[in-house]
Amino acid sequence: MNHASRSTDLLNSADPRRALELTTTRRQLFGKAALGLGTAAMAGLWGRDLLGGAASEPSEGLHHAARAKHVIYLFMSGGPSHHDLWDYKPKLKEMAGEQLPDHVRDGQRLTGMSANQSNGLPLAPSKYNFTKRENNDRGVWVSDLLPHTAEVVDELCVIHSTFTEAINHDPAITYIQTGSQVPGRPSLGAWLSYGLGSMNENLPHYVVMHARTNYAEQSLFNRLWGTGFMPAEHQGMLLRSSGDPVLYLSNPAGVSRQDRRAQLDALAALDEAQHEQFADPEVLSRIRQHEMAYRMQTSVPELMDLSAETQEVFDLYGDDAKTPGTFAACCLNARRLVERGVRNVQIFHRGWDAHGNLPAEHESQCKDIDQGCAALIKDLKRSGLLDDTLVVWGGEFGRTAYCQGGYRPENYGRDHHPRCFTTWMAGGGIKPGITYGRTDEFGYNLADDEGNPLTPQPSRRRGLVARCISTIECHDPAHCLASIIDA
Amino acid sequence: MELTLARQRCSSIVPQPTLVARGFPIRVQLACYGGWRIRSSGRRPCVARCSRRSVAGPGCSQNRLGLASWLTSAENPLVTRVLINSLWQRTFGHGLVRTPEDFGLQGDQPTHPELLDWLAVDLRESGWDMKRMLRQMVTSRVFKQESRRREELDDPENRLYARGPRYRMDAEMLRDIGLWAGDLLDPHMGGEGVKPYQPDGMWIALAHPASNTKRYERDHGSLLYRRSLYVYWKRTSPHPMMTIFDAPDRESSCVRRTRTNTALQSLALFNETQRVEIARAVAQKLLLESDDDHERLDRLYQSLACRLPTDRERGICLQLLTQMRERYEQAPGDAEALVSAGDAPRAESLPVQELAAWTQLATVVLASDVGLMVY
Repeated sequence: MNHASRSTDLLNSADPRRALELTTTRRQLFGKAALGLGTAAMAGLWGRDLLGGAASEPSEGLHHAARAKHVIYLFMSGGPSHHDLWDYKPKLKEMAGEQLPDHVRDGQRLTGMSANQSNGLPLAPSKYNFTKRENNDRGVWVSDLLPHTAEVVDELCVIHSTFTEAINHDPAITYIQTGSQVPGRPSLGAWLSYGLGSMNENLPHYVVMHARTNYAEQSLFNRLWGTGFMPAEHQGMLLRSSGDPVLYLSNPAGVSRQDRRAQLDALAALDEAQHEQFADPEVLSRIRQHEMAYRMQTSVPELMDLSAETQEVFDLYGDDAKTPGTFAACCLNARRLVERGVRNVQIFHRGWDAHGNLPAEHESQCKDIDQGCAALIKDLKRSGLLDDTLVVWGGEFGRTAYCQGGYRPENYGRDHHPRCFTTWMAGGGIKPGITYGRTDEFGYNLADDEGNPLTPQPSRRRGLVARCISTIECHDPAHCLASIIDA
Repeated sequence: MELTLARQRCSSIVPQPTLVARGFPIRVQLACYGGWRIRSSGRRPCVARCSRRSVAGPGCSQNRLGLASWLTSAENPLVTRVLINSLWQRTFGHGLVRTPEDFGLQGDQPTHPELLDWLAVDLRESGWDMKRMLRQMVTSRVFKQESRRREELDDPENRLYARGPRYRMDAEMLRDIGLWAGDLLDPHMGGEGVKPYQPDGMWIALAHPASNTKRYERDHGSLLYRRSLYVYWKRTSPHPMMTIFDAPDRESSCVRRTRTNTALQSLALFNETQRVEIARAVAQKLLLESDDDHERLDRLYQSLACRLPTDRERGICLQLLTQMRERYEQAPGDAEALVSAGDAPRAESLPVQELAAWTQLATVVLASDVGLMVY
């Protein structure tokens, strides 16, 4: 049956408006999509009623059985030091202050910041103690900077072998959020919104929060939660901690909710009159969006109102969570968002770029995030949401084993280090309590099981999600995924 | 002699482009990997290998001038076709080639190739007169058609142009039309970018501490009402009233915008400070220019839609007006609060409750199709 005759059948059906809507939807879908749509994804997406907008199950029409329904991405902007948090290297203590051996660097280009240091590249062990914590695998070393997170390592998959090719923040963070070092592509959240839609008709698909920090650098960019070439509706919505939580959410002074209701009723009547005359389905779409906005005017304040949470919850997250805009508050909001069906939540925490003065800065940073991270995992787990929610933690690159600037055991800095760093994932079908991958004894290169340095061979088949969240070194992608995903 | 002196005087005021200033072929040194110290041997200007054979023949030098001559020659249809397609897209909502970002064999074929070519030749022969071409398009029979969908035709995307265009205005147009309707628009051309109202803290949340665009200081006076073309554009944090309405962030080229309908747009149309100000200015204008509600409604629809309201639209508007009048009679404080939004001067002679009621109505009409669409 060709396109034309099917359309005619529908046009002649009992409800011409409905028929036209169906036809137009399909055509507009093909017309508006910047890319060709995979039929499998489309079947799942458009299975829902045009006007009813029932939420779709994530596995409908997809290639694989999905485990995660939500993602919470805790992004540590600036590049946290794996040496001081997750990747314990006693070798550095042995060789404290000595030059990084040439064979370890193996000719890798250095940044302009460390290439010409008068003191060369002195190795800098972490000043912090590491403890080996038990998990469901061979245990994992965690530094004293993360006491709370250390308690939940049996839920985490700690990945030591994350790496990237970008050396500086802008390309590195753009790469990890959009899959390309060059701006212009949609963000991960936009892809998820486009591919999987929303589970909640009253809240946006994709929410972004910025957590407070004492070290407000490096800059962030709209494109990190942007849509690139895709329609603007997939853009991440900022949930702000001061003023209106969502831009333009509140009615202006002198306009009540009842006024807005009366206005929207009048608007719908005008739009319907237009629709009857012009039969443009965009009008109906606009009416729906006005109604969603009206619902958001109550659903968002309800979301942000933490008074319903018990003191026990604040004990879990820390009292910080009572202050809007802190990382802990963002984590609590993230749990609430996921509870309400929001698919993709990202929290950006700036300030990890410790070129100098690392101990003071990282101590402050960890104090910001540690309890919140652990609380989020525990909270999701006890609410039964952890199985459906993929939680990801990490930055855009790691930090060097050598010191940037003058080295002293109690104070040092580290430069950018893309070749290896640590991230962790939890929930959403990830095997709990394991570690994956390792680095060499200097924490400088990826390493095989014997500790011999490996050159990263990025898999060409890695999917966008893997590319965006972390680039995991693995010779055998199937083995890698099998290792970290709980079948 | 006089001519030489005059020319020298000119050159000292107006910078001469390199191609014109130098009469001899220049040699360029290539900086290897961008390093300023490491230079390769000199190269002569040349066009890309793929164009070399085309940019050949008399009068075509193997340099940018030659390339420019070839691109604009009568034998080369590409530039004119692309320009026509772009202009057609702006006028009709869709180009004759619907994939301007892939203009060529990899994209859509033109729906009307003969028309495209005819217009392309016409543009060139008129002396590349874009204004004339635009006038030609908007005075054409095609453009003047009604945009009601024709149920008897299976052409929902209007590829056959059996009806007139109908599309939502770009972000910039939307703001400009609103300002114009309220007699707020400052038509002054040129000059510095301007900063309209913006929610607090948007820039500082993202900025580097050393950034000189850390803090957003909004403008005052007539600068608030200049055309949106002049809105200051920080690409990593563009003005939300632009991006919410599908303006691209300009970090990469965009030749075709999406046109979306989102809840954020709804919130923006009703709650954003300048939209409220615009509604108040429109209401003010209507109240000052006429005493009669019906006449006021007529003027509103005439200015936004170039037509009178239908009876149905009139009924809906008057009903809302009645509701709002009652509402603000009972709460003059709320009326005062509403009409105080924005810096634009308020006509003190108008009763506050009446102004508030009409502001509410104007907001609704501006958020309906007549305020949003070209149709």
